[in-house]
Order: sequence, then C-alpha cells, then structure tokens
Amino acid sequence: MSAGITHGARLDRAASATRFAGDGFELGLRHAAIGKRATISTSLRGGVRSLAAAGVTAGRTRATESSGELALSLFPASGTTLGPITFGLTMRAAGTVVGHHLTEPTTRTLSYAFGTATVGPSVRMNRAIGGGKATAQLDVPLAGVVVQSYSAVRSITGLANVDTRWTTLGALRAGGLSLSYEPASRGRWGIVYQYRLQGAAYDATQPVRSLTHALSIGIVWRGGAR
Amino acid sequence: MRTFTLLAAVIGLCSAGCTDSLVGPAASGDRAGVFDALWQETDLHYSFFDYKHIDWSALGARYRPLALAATSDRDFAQVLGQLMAELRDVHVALFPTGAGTALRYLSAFDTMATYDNPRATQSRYVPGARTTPKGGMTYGMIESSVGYVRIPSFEGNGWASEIDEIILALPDARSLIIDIRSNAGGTRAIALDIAGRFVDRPRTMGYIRSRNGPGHADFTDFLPQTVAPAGRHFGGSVYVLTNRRNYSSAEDLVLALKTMPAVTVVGDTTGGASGGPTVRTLPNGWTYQISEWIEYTPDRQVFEGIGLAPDVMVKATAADAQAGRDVVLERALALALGRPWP
Repeated sequence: MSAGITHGARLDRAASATRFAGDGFELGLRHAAIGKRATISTSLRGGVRSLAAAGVTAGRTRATESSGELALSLFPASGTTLGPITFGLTMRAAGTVVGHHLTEPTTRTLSYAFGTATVGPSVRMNRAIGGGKATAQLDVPLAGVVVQSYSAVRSITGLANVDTRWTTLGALRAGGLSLSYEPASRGRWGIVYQYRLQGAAYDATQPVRSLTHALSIGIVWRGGAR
Repeated sequence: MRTFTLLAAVIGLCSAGCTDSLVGPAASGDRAGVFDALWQETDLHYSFFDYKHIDWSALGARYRPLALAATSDRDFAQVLGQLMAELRDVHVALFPTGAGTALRYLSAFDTMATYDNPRATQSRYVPGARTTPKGGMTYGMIESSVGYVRIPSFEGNGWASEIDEIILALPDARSLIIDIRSNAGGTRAIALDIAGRFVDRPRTMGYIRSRNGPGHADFTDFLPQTVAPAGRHFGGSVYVLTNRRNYSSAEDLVLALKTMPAVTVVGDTTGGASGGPTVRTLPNGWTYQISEWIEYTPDRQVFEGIGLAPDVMVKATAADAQAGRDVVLERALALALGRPWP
C-alpha cells in the first residue's frame, strides 16, 4: 500500500490545444503472488491532480485530472529473486477524466475522457543495494484498445460521442518505468520507496500526449512462508 | 538506501519540471497559434457547416492574414469575432479575456421589434402578479379559471421546482398560459424539468445528432430526446406564448410541451437556435463557444435558423403596443375561455 505525490503534464486536443500541467497525489495497492513457476503482480492505483494551462496569463481555465489504473504483470519465478534481467508480460487498463473548469460565459465544468487497455512486454531487474532490494521495471505496451471522447462528455449524448478503437504501437506509443527500493527488514513489515514515470503519445484526429512522474512511499507486508 | 531515496527525489523533481515541454508547447499569445487552434477546433466540432453551406476553408484563408495583421489584442479579437460571425449562429461567441467584452453573433431577430413588454402585460392583465422566491418566474390569475406564468429565462440552476409552488398557488386554474416570449434560453435541464410538470408519461420530444468525427458530415445516429414527468402534475390545457427571441432551451421547452395534445403554442415562430453549445479554451486563455450538435423535431426536421412555428400565429404590431394591448396574450386567453376571436 503506497501514497505519493505526482506531477503530470497533459495535452489532449479533444479538449484544448493547450498543455495543462500540475501536481497532485495518488494512492496505490499492490499484491504479488509468488509461485514456484511464476509471479503475478496486481496493482491498483488512483490519483488526482490539479492542472493549470502552462504559459497562459490571461486565461482562467483550470482543470482537474482524475485517473486510475489496474495493472497485472506476469513474470517467471526468477523475476522476484536477485539476479539477471527477466522478461514478462503486463496488461494494463487505465482511465483518465479531465474536468475543465470554465468561468466564461458561465461557471461550468466540461469533462473529457481517455482510457486505454493495453498489453505488452515488461523487463524487470532486481539488485541488492545497501542491504535492501532495488527493482527496476520497464513496460512497453504493444497493442490495445483506446477509448476517447470526441468532445466533452455530456449526459444528453451519453456514450454516443465516445470513440473506441483498436490500436498498436503505430498509433499509441507508451511506456512506464518504475524504480523501487525496499530496505532490509527482519519482520513481515517493511517499507518501499518508488519513483514512477509514465508517458503516452496517442496519434489520432485529436492527439493526446501525457507524462506523469510519481514519487511514493509505501508499507509492505510479506505474507506466506519466508 | 539514503542514496537511493535522494537519487529518486532528485530525478523525480528535476524531471517533472524539465519534461513538461515533451508533452507539447506551453500556451502563448502567439496569434498564428491562436487563430489556427480556433479554426481547426471549429472545423472539427462545429455542427452546421454542411447545413448552412459554409466554406470554412475559404473563410480561414480570408481571415488569417487579417488576424495576423492585427495591431492589438482588441483588434485581433475583433477579427476572430468576425470570422465566427460568418457561422450565423447565436450560440457562437468569443470571450476575449482582457481584450474587450464578449463578441456574439446577433441575428436579425435580436434587433427586430417584438412589441413584447412584460411590465405592461403584467400591469394590465395580471395585476396581482407575484414572483417566485428565486426570481425565476412571475405568476398570477388572469381570469377566474386561467392562470399565467412568465418565465423570462432558463439561466441558473435549481429553481425549476418553483413551478410546483405556482401550480399549488393557482388551484382554480383550469388553463395555464406559459409566457416565454423573449426567453433566450439557458440551462436545458431547467426547461425540461419545468416541462415535466405538464406531460403524462415519457415522450420523445425530438432528436440530437452530435459531431463525432473530423468530416463535416460526421455525426452520431439520431439520439432520441425524452421529456419525462416530474414534480406536481398540471393536467389542464396549456397555452405557450412564443416569439422570435426564443432560442435554445426555450425552444426545448416548446418541443417538450408540444408532445402533449392539450398544449397550444400561440404567438410568433421561435428564433431557431438548436446547436447545443460547448465552450473551449484557446492557447492564449480566451474561451469561445460553438454549436456541436444538430437538434431535430420529432419528425426529424432541422429548425436551426428557421424556428418552431406556433399552432396559432399572432404577431403583435406597433399599434397594439401603443394601445397597451398584448394581442398574443389576448388570443391565448380567448382560446382558453372558448371565446370568439375577431
């Protein structure tokens, strides 16, 4: 279980030609089932960021970005032990809703949705550092589904205005890098520090670019036999 | 461990500040960028290009040099305003924060005389008129069995239920005249919430098709729009007074009420503004509003720029106004009471 601070920048042409950026926080849960042949990691994460249009002085539009994701990684058993690089597979479903808070002509919020469900290879490396365990993992989705609202989501049009399409590396270039460190601990409880970088570039009629940094700290409970 | 934490923090904080530009350029007041964003986003989202036979590319080519030649933000805003006025759509507006007031398209109906004088009407025909607590409606009795409600606007939120108090306060009303003349619209939900008091079951009031692709003919399917019963029901006959300055949500009220056979629309044709506007932000922080859907009547006819014709056409004249008469209201009253009309 972890909590952290985040910084994100986002350009979603369905909403605006302007880049919005800002800070926020996130909460996460991660579970790793370690078997004899494979390790399955499941993580659930959600966060909120307050964004402002970068560079604008005259405008008063602000935005709130709410995002969440569910990721499932599958690695061979060696992926959890200290040793060489291991290769696995990651499936990730992520969704973001950005609410643009406008003041003219009247105060209102218009929300834009963007979601992906992807699958692709992952690379993981574990190293012993300072008595603890450092882990680096890189995920690169190769194919998936993208859901994007053509314009602001409105109750009157419902989901009729939301476009869903299959995508591959040609249209969706994304990736995630996480660096985590677990200091040595004797009991079942421990601490984990994590830095995470995620980026995506989706090429469409209304392209989307996003980049997120997150720095978090969490507590670890190690169940099962040790 | 300390080293790792420090390293992670440095990487995180530094890269956060340094890498935003990878996502895209920071917003600026660069006029070419602002013009191009306005032109392109309008191209992608505006709903009436084909219906109005607008050559948006030609307009962009004509106005771009004028916009780039502007010597001040105020002049630049004026050029953008002129470009948007070419869409001939009362839902289109530019809000140039810090460079003047809102620039809106005015239709011919906005400047024509309607001879609609609410104060004179209430003074002569509804002397004991009262206003609801939130100020959204004025009401009273005209005759012993005919009530009157004036709704000048649908702006704001959370006051539609005041119509229930009016229905309660006019227990003798067998007929109700709902006067929305010169109501230019506002919040669609309020209009439909009020209309819900007069329908007996969910009824299809029309359809909407929303832009959903880059082509000017890219739209969703016909999405049925429904008005559903809400609040205290009024089961008597209803007369809705309209004129050419009724736009948008006011026209939604008319569409919703016309689903009921006991409703008669009296007056002039409405203004015909049906685009479901959305607001977007330009790279310099200004905002603008454009229509992004096409609304249809229950028989799938477009009424943008045409309006909704009344069941009983009555046009007030200057002579009526000078005589202090509200002939539209008088006609509705005659219908409600079954009196002959000269």
